[in-house]
Amino acid sequence: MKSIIILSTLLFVTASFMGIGSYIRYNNTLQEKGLYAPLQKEQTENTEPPQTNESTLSAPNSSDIAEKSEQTDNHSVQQQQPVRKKTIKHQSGQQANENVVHAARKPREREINFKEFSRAPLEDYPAPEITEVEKKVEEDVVEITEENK
Amino acid sequence: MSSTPQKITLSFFVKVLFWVPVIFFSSLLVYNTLPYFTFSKEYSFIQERILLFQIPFYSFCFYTHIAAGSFCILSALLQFSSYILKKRKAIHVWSGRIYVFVVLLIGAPTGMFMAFFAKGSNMERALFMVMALIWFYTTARGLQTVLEKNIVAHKHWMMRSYAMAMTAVTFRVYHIFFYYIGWSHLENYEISLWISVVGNILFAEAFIFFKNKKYIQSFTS
Repeated sequence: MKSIIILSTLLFVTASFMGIGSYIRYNNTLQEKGLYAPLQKEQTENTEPPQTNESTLSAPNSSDIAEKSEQTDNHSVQQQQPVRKKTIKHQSGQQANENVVHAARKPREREINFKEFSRAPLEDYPAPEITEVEKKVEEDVVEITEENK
Repeated sequence: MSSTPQKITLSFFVKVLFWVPVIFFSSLLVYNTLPYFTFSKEYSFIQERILLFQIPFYSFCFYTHIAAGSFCILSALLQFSSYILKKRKAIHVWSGRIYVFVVLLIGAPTGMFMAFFAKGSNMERALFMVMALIWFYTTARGLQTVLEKNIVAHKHWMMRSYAMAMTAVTFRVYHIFFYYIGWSHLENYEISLWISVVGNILFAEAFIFFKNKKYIQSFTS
């Protein structure tokens, strides 16, 4: 049994050195490729264009964009409701409610599966960057609201 | 020393209050580890580290580590039973050998290797390395003291070793708790990690301190 202590100590030291060597060899490459980052990128791509697209849905001149965003929209029902409400309001000619809290700032709700106790929950999706198209649409919305005033 | 019935009842109640959640969460952890042995890459834990799993040795270390961890957690549950120790000592001995063998030869070395690529900052990686080192050292000391027939010291060192093994369980308990109160993932991960490691160490040391009149000597015996 004492030999186990000696053998395991050697193994532990070997593993430490292998870890150091692997770290030196792979760390830079992994950081460049974005260790842990690809999952975030994939998730942000797979998720609904987030709540920033709600402004596109409410803009009357962005119907094409709204259709595309709705096709890729995988929001939960709760999150879809404010989007649809905005669209209906705008179609009825009502002014967009500028006091609505931007949904991108709301924490994304997720159900946690207690059975997956040992598995880390997915990353919180970071707020996606606003694309140029969305910026333009937001500008259009501002112009429309100013015209309506 | 005579114990009043009230003290016996309280002691039993405290033991039940401690061991029922420990057994439950340990079993749940092992149960949720089993699907990983389908070697599917679809789990979020693996997806998050998909680049790392392209390194063959890391992949090997991961699967051996979780297998070893499962054996450790299950075998350790039997070790603290005074009934088994008195009536079926062979179970204690063999279960202990499995635990020591798995920790020293598999769990701690693979954990040490994977610590270099742990999630979080360099502080978290250093913490995992320290954890692997403590786990290894305390288990080795536990084995050494039992070979020297120093049973009291053996108990102390194995408690410390078990505290390190249980960080896998307590980390997830804290993780879920902080998730429900709305903490962001990375903060949750880091805080849960630190609390589970430091908290388990403090808990073990506190238990040894209150049970042992010569606490300082528990480190040198």
